[in-house]
Amino acid sequence: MALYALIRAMPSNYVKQMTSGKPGVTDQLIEQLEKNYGLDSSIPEGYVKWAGNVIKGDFGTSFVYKQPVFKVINDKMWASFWLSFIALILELLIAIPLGIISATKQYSKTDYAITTFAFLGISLPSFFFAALLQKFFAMDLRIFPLQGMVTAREDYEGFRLLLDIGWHYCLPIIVFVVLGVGSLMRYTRTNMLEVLNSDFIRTARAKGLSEHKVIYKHAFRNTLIPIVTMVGGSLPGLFSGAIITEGIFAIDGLGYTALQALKFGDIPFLMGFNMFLAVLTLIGTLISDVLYAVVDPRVRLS
Amino acid sequence: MSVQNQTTVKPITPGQLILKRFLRNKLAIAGFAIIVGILLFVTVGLAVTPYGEYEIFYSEEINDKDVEITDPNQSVTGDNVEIYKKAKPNSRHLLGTDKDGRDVLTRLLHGGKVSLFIAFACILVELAIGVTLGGIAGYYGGWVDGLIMRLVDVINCIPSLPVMLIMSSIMIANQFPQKYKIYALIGIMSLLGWVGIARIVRGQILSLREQEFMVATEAVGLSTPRRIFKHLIPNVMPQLIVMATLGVGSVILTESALSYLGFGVPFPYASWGNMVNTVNDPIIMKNNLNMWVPPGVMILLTVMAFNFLGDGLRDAFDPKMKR
Repeated sequence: MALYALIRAMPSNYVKQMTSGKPGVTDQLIEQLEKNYGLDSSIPEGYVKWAGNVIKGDFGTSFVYKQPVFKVINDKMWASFWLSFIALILELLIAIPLGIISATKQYSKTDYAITTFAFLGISLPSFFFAALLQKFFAMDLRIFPLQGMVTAREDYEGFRLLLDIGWHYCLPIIVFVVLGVGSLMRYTRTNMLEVLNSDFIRTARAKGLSEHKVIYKHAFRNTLIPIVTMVGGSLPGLFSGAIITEGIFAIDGLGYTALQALKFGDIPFLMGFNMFLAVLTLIGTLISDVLYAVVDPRVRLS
Repeated sequence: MSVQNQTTVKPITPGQLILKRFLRNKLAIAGFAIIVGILLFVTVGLAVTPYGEYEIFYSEEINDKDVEITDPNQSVTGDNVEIYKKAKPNSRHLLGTDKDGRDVLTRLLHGGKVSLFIAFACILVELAIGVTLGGIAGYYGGWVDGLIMRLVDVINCIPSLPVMLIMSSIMIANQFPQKYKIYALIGIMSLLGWVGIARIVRGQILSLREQEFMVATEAVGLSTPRRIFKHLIPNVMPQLIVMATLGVGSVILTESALSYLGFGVPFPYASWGNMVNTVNDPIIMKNNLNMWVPPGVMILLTVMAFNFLGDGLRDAFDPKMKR
């Protein structure tokens, strides 16, 4: 509710934005338009109206896209989702092995190198890293396109289109992976260390099992429990998009759309978007709770 | 014999143990060194730099070459006089000048001051709110706890970046004075950020208050504030220090992202984030690395140093850690 008041208090009135600079627009017309968009009511009044519609399952119509908010979100979220999904898989493939290596060789040179790399990724500001990539790979070397999702003026179809999109996705995915891989790696390392210090690992070693077997059969499986729950919990978040990265690479995903909506004062879309984010967070928590019980046989839902 | 024993078996205080563990962590030491270095760089640099934050330089075209006007008495109004913009690094401007003819290095120093100030202030406010509310929730329990923790849940659900963007655009529209915007920024960021600290403090206090030493303080008849602040909070200190250190890094990142999007520290004030923002101009991205790479590297270095330090401190404080 406070969110609605905030958004309504925003400066960029969509009607004013639309009409400004157009001669022949009378005050009467503006009034009429404001009425059409529901901007004439006071803030509490508008909120009650909006909430009433939401209960009926109607999130309203986006001002900019002239389509139901739900449809706009549905249209845009897949670009964001595939981007983050591919990035997540790459992150897992890199982070888990490296995390295990740095845990088993704690305080070795390899561990320090991996840790430094992980922190480098965590600490990089996404916009700066994206700009560096654009500068070197897109501008100087011309290997990857600067931004956008498809090459302009080329009407690819089918597989070629997929390839083209993939080619455009490369740089954003690198940004996602480098930025996200660090925390996942640290998480793996911490959990692995904890498992390696537990009694059953000592037992396994005392039994005379090979180090390889101890780590990959006994320790690794137990490390997976928290990782699976965390990754499962983050799945819904993949739909939410990344405002900054999408903005820089002009990826037509949810984050980019939200930034545009913010500029134009697209109230129904912003409200829908924020609701969507809140729901995603809730679903994420739910999934990780359920997964925890599924993966770990010691936890039983009674 | 007994004298010898006394000298060889020296009791180590927990503090010394922590220090010892900390000093053995090379990355943490490196982080500490970088932080000290950056603080020195900013403070000494600001004292030494001869230029002002918004001082604009002019140049004169002599024989088809832009030559900077160095004489302060020379008039800067003339036909072939223009702003000394986008200059390459040279002896007078070690990092060149930006697109409005201001010294990049000087702005870098001022930006550092602003970014660090925001980060520290933000963490202090977050700590104050988080410790107080978390402490109250954990100590009293019951409906007070329920109320505070619901508030924490609600704030946790709010998507922070969109909300901050919305708030700043409201401030811009309502002609909020630029000078105070930095403080508003600190306020907003800490209002959204204290929940993590409150959670930790509450959790710790919930488990601590059942222990014997707390029963003892009650038996002795100490007052409630004294029990909270003298006996409970010091026990949460290690976690708080770690959270605060890691928090400084993340606040710098958030602030720079906001400034980068144009919603944070307002122009003409410099901040590392809004200096990197110049990269949005493709020509600058391509040709003027000196304008956007240094602030980016500064953000990276600072955030990384705080992360190293926080991580090292966490390891050092953890009594379970074996070396």
